Amino acid sequence: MNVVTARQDRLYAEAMLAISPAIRRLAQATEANSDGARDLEQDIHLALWRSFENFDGRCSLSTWCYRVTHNVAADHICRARRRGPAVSLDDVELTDLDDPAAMLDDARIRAKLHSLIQLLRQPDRSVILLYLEALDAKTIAAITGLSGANVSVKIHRIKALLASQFQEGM
Amino acid sequence: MTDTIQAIWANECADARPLTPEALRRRADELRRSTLLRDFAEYFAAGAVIATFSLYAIYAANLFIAGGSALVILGTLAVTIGLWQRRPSRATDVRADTHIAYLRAQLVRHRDAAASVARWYLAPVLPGLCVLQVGYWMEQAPQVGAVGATMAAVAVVILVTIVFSSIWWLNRRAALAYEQEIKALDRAQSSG
Repeated sequence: MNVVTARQDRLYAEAMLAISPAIRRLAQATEANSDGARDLEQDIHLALWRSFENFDGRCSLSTWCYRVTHNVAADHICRARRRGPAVSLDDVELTDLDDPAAMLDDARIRAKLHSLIQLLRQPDRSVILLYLEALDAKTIAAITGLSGANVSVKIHRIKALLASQFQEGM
Repeated sequence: MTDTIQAIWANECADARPLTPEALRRRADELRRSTLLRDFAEYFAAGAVIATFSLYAIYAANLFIAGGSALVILGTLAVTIGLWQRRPSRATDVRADTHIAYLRAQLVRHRDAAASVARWYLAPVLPGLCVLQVGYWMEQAPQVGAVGATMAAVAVVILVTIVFSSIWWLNRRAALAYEQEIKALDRAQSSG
């Protein structure tokens, strides 16, 4: 095994300890079809492993991984020709989602979150996914390339949206 | 409340694990095969066109058909080169750009390809088709008369115009849609 491959393997092993669950969550939120979600998840893992050949410390390993993950997901959406009516966080209407049920179990909450995520256009889709991963505004800004202030505004909107949609069921 | 939502979100897929080296290699092989298949289909189509018009050129009834066939072959080669130049980048570090930068670059690539389709996809084969049509007219006129041959030529020209215009119009629409997405992305980046 050459030095480059060994380094890729080491970085991959190190990164995946933290990010593997987040990758699967993103794949399942992006792709409603389970086979498609599995394909996307594997594509992301492969893209990450390949990308480590060129990891040069320009950002943290975590930021690098999230960038690659979200960029691969964006390619997947583009290839799948999903050109449905995507909206921004500012324009999403409460009626765009299913009517909130009086009581929601965890599975239904996740299903509603998936519906919301699939409705959103980029980069809002990535911002809400990263927010759900409990990343702070500064980290989300580093991953997305948006300004910190912009991310803070979007997070505020996300919190308001989640509160209005899920208050009943919590 | 959003803390609860984040906790519910994080509880899902907690058992996800990285791929094994064997699984990574298998996935890489699958992707390589599907890419080769897609590329093969495109270049096979070009090869079929070149082979067909090579036969036309060799067994042509007149110089216009031979010359037109040669021009179509050259045009097809130009289109094939254009497709090759516009294939997605395989650079492994491109995908580590910030999400906005990566998205924008992809949208710009798609927009530019769609906006220039008349130049690199349609125009290269037009000279050959025009010369071919003259050759076919010369071939048919003695048999069906000048009027008949002209009517046939007009019908072919109308059909080709409809097809080429449709391709141009659909790509023009796509380019405008990509431009709107680029502008929305730029607005999203500059606001806040």
